[in-house]
Amino acid sequence: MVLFDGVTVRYGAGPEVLRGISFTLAPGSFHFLVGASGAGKSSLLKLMYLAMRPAAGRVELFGRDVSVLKRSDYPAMRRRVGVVFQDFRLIEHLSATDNVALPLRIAGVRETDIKRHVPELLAWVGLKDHLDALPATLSGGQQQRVAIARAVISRPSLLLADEPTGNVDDGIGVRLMYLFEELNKMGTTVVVATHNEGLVGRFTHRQLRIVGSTVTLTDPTATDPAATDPQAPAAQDSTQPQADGNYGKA
Amino acid sequence: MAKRKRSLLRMRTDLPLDRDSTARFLPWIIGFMVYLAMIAATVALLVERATDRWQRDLSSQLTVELPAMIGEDASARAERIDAAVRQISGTDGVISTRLLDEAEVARLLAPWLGDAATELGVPLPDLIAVSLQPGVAADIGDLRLRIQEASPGAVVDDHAAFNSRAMGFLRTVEVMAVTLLILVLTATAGVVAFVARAGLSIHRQIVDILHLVGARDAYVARQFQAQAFRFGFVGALIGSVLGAATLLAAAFWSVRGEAAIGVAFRAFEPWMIWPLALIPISAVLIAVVTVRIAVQGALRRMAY
Repeated sequence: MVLFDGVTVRYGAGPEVLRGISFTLAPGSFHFLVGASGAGKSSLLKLMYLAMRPAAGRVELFGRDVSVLKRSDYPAMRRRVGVVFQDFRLIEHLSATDNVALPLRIAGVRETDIKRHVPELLAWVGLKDHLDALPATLSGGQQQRVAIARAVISRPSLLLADEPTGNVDDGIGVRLMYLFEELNKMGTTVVVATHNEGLVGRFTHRQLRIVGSTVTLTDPTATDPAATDPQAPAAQDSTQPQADGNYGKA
Repeated sequence: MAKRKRSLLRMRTDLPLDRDSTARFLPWIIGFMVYLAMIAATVALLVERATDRWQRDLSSQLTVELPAMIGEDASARAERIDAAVRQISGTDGVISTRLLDEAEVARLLAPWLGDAATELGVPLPDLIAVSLQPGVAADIGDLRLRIQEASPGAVVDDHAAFNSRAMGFLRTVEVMAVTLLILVLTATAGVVAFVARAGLSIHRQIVDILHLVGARDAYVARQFQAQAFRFGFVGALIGSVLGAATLLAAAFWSVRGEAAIGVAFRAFEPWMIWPLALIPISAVLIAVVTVRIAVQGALRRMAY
């Protein structure tokens, strides 16, 4: 599904944000991407939703090397990726319904189907009474739920969520995580970037932990200490124990 | 969710392009351009028509001047004129000849000799108006030689010099009108492209969002095209109404025979409405195609 091979990220001539990262995400897996603010979580996600290219290394998405993709190939790839942006990126002059409907309309889904599915999903995320509300009239948490609904409405193969629970209370945060788990059970590969260790601790999903520009693997369910040790060799080490079969050199 | 129709004029749009201050005056600018283009095209058509007519009229006429002979009696003069007319009539392409009477000659010479030209006792030349068959090139050189044998000093004026200068002037006016038309349409395309690029710049964040959720460049460009169509349509309507009003006023003046524009407008023919009607349609098409090219070009230059 996703393969990073020796990936380095740098903005301009600045220092390396991420260095020599290697890992794979198997189809249908669920991962937390954990790290302190500014550790590079968003940068790593950007590589996955094709908003930037690595300074070095290779990124594969759905079996295709993104460095050789033509610009015209991006839309089809992006339609398979749902993204919850940290800053929501809702379109201000569109209602909650129209914001959520955006990926469907872009994909050419019929209006009758859009009118059936979008209100249903918005009701599920607790926004039944805000279908026509503009983002500016919604609270941060409500906007975040609209953003999540937009990311999942087209049932993407890969869901990337950047701090999706950052603006909601714990109850709604956990409920949103259940939504992601439901999608995961239906086959969607999920990556949730968060610095909320409390939330991460409530679930047993694998963790990609960014420490000092490199990524290490943590699997709460593994018995092998090497697989769960944050100080263990970076995930790019192909000899690293394959705790769940999803990590290491591709 | 607001109900929206998916017509060209009211296509659903994700970009709030109509709110842009740069776009607000676009319908009026396009309207003004369409109006100017219609006037320029009308001038070009009228001049083209008038030039054709004039050229046809002048190229089908000759004037033969037989200078007066000092001491010549009336019978010899009449014989000389008859000989000249015979030479003219025997020329291929000549339809008719007409000897101008003394009063007509005096009227033609009035600008130089005054109204009393016949009373001055100055010997006046004889003038023969010759009508030629349109499309048949008479051998003027040969005619000139034969007439000069019949009437020494005779001058054959085929109006070539005047015709050439007048046609040159009219063609210049026509070229200027067509150039103005092209400039106006080019300026329209430029303004529309500028507004589209400004809109793309203003709404860059939304365009990025659209791309990130899988929109193709064509999807984004269509939104700009829809705006160009709407604004172009309204502008074309404004320009057409103003243009039609001007043409009607010119037609009114031409009926009343007042003002130069009225006189010029007499060359207007009903078929000219069709090329003029193409101008607003072309303006809308130019707006839409220009926006498509400008926006897709700018989108291609975006990194992602």
